[in-house]
Amino acid sequence: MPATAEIDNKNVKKQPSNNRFMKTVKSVIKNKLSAIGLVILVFIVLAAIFAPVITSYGPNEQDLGNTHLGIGSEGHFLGTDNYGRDMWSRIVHGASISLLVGISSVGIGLIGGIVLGLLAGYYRKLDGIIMRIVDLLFAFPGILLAMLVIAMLGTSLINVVIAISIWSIPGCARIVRGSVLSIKEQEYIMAMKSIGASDVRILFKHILPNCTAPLIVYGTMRMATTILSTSALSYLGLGAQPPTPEWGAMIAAGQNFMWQAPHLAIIPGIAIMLTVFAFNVVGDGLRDALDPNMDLNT
Amino acid sequence: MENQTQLLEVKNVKKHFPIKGGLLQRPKSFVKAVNGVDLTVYEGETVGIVGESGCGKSTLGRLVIGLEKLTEGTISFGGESIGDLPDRKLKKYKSNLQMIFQDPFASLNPRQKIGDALEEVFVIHSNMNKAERKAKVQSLLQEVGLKEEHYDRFPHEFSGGQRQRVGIARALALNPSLIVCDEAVSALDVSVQAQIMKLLKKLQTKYNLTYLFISHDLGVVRYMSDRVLVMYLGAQAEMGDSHKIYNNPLHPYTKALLSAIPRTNPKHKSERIKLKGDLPSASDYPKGCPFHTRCPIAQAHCAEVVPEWREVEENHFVACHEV
Repeated sequence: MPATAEIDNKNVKKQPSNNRFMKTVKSVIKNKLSAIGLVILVFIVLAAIFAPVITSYGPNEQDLGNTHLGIGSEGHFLGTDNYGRDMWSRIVHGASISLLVGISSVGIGLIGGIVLGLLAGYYRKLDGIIMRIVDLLFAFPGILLAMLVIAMLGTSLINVVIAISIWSIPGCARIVRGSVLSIKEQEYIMAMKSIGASDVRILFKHILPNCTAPLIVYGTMRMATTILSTSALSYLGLGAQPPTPEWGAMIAAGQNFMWQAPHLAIIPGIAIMLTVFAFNVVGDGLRDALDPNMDLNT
Repeated sequence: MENQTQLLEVKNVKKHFPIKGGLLQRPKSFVKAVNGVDLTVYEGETVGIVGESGCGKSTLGRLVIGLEKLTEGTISFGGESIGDLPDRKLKKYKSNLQMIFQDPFASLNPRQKIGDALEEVFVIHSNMNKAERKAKVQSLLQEVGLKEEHYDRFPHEFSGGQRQRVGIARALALNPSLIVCDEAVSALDVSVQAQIMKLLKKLQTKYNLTYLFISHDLGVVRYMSDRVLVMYLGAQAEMGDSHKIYNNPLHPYTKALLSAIPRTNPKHKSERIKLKGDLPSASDYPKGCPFHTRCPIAQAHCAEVVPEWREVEENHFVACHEV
């Protein structure tokens, strides 16, 4: 150990024991609204995962002797619909459908957007072509684009996922491209090039990990939009088909009985509202927590 | 100098960056960042490159390690011209030439541990297994005055001087013969500067390294270099042994540059040569001698004829009509 290095060795900080993830969660919770959102989200996710355990009836189990039961009825605390199906069971199973559709379409959208964004940001020659395609996608109103895709592929939940994924790609591509443009000029990228690292290695090992923060925020916010759009498409009859317990489809079925049993339309409506609200406020909290101006490294 | 092995030869190298404009993004004009530089570097020596901001010294460094493509001229390393090397050989070439970067805060990936960052060099260039790589990295860390336990730390846990040591370790990892130090100590404070320069000198004798030492700091370059190249606006102004340049500067630009060094002896009065005007834009390159717009001794023909690169005494070259 040369004596010369000892002076600057003293400046070494202790390795922080709490990692980045815990730090982010903590600063999200600091905001009360985001904390509420996070609690709702955890509740919804747990409900979706344990749906068969916490319900006593199947979501499609009919009991034609007990139709249109109101809220608070014995054995069916959220009542039953026009076929006597338990509303609580349908809502809980609907949560898993909404989350699955949300996660898969946001996931596919992110993967597509990341690949396009990385290519556009890193290779100047591809930039023009890719971003013009992205602009083209941007020009369509999202729901119209989704309806167009469904009109071509047919109505089903899978096709809803495909339609909404395509719609998630351009926003993500934009965000990634912007980050790549600034990161690729950093000296550590130059250093990797001078070492002789391949483009794939630089892109996925050095550039991508440094643009995750805006992607996490985008993904969370996007979940809200996706769930809302899935319900909207199902409500219009373009997504989940009966008897699937999808929230939007449930509203569409329930609205015929608005006067006899208003809870049939209102309860799934509240479920959609709470989920979208939760994702939005958590997204807001994450955006504050992952603000690029705030140095996460200190 | 002649009996030494020639390691790097830079011949009439030019790098022009296009300025694109108009609807079709055609190049409208060019920024002449490097405009005709000749340089021979021998094994084991340190060549300093000085000049003010924007004179093309960093671009020259990047051209040498292959980060930028040449517009004109040739660069040969160990007798092989790198312009016409196939990609596979280029990787081998690149491992022989490394760079130490200016900003120690920007030259390390903030999301990567120091150990992983250094190991990555071996992942790319060798077939070592994890344990071998780790051992190699730990010996490298010791080599540059860091400790083994620094292996698991992130860059933000280090001071500027320590990060620069990591940068040196990374440059050293592949046993290169030439290291380009691009303002390697400029971002550090003076006491750390001295430590890093000592470390660089120690490593040079130990591994017979050759340095291309780029800096705007004349004092640092004098301490480090055997020979010095003075650059002005992408062109070479003067080149020679360090003591010749510092004691007997010939080019009016070198004289002005050296007169700007603060004197340590207040009684020693020396005349400060003040240059008039600003550095001309490299996109609107002056005709004739690039320095004639600010030169105190400029004549009429300086604005017309590009001065020749002449050897005025042994190993002392200058590009000026009036010397």
